[in-house]
Amino acid sequence: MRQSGSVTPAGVGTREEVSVWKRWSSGSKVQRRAFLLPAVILLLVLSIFPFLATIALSFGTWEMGREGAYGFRGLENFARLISDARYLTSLINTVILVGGSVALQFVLGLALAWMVYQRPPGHRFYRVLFLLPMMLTPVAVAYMWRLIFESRIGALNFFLGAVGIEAVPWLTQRTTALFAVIVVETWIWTPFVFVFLYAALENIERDALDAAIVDGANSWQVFRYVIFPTILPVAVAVLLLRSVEALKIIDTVYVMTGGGPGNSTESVTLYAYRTGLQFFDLGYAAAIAVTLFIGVIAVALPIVIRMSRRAEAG
Amino acid sequence: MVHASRSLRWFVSGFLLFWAFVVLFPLYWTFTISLKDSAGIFGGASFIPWVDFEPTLDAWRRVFLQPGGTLLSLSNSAIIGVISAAFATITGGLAGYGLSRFRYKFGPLRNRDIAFWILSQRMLPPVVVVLPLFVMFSTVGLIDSRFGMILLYTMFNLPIAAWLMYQYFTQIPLDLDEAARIDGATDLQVFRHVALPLARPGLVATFIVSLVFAWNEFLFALIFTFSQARTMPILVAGQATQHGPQWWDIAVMALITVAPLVLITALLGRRLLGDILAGWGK
Repeated sequence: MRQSGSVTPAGVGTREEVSVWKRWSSGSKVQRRAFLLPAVILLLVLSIFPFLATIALSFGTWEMGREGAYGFRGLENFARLISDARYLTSLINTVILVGGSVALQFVLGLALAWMVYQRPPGHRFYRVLFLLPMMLTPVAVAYMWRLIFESRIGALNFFLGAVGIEAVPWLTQRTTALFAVIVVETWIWTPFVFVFLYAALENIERDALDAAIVDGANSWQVFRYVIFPTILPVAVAVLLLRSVEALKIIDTVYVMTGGGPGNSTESVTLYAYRTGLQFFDLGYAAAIAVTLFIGVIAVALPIVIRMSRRAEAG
Repeated sequence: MVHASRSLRWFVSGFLLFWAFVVLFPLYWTFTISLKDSAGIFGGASFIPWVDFEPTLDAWRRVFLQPGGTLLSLSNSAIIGVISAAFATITGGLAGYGLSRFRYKFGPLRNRDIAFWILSQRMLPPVVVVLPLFVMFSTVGLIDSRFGMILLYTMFNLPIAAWLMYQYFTQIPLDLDEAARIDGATDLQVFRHVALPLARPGLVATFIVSLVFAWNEFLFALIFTFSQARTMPILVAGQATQHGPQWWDIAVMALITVAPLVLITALLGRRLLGDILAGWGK
């Protein structure tokens, strides 16, 4: 952060300007709260209120376009979920996609962070290049990968054909389609893991590492007692954040398989979207969304607890 | 790398080169598809223009000349992205500044709790809010409108914007505020003339992050736009279902969608990395 030596506020402005600002700042408490006001109003109207409405909706039905058409149905929607095979499939798919892609992202991100941290030739180029995938539009990325996975025109089957392996219909059978989505999600989000673990590694004082080595620590001891404790909290936070985000998956699935074949690769968000906004079964869609919310809370809880502990300490 | 053995060094260099290839190949392959016609695409593997296939700009021409399609969506994405990112930066900046400087108390909630409450809104799955929002927006006529999308994306980015600005403002030493106050500056003068100029790098970073998120967002756009306000991701996503995939056109659209992001990464990637190195990893 740039710090100026001079302590006067730079160019407080003309006299008229000062008088306007003076008047503004008279009601101090009100004015200080006004800093928060736009943010709080926006979140209350566009986030908190709809969230509460979704909870209410999940316990009932709503007919679009008819006044006061809310009907309370108790736990009916949730009871329906338990015997809905399509919902259970979407749930299993989401868990597979989250587990598979986050695990791969973590392993690759950690390996890449460690390698770039060694400052091999080209590391300055690599560390910017490796950020790129997470900056790109997932829908566009998913299409780029379809051009690789498509069975007739895809690059992957061309490569496999060159070494004598028969063409695989990657996107039209469930197992390989889920695998393909995991590959794409991993490609997009490995940079996230990479950059935060790399930052954590760079935060270790290189002097401390050198000192440990001079003191006769072997590389295992350096890892165990210096590196591991430093990156562990970051690694846990990154894993949880990625899992929370991955649970919401829809765009890559939508483009790569459209949830198909059949509904066999649908994710929870995709199913909720279709139920609510294509079949307009709003109550049931809300119930599906609420179960996703519960899943997110379960994963996010450790972050919440950690943050509030920090808040108490700080 | 001083202590690493020679074979390990070879492995590291090889793996990094491999990953660089993995990162770049999908972009390159899409580019070659955008230069092909149907014979080039269905006629088997070909990788290098002029060497193993004859490139054509037909797809590029078609995509740009298509009436009401690509250019409208591109301008929608740009307008919605830039304005909503500016709104998010302003509202988030105000909230972040307030939280870093004043002591708030709403019931049991203190500053850190409020900051965390705002940030936690980002974890909420969008699908949990879209159904009532859809009903609300259709009642007030904000479906398929740019203004509606700007509102949604401002809300969507606000939590991260407020959190980032809160971090930036907290780094500005309070001494500077005190000094200005001794010189007779009011709260708002301190904000305008001390904090804002010093936080400029933070404002830029917050704006860029919000812009990228808004540009890439899918679910809100899928639900709330279909023609007049349709953004690039929705235009691209709709391609396969309409009249069978026209791979060459899709390739062009995908490349147009990501081009600004590649540019941002090339220009600002190092700074973004620097910010993360300085502020995170702790």
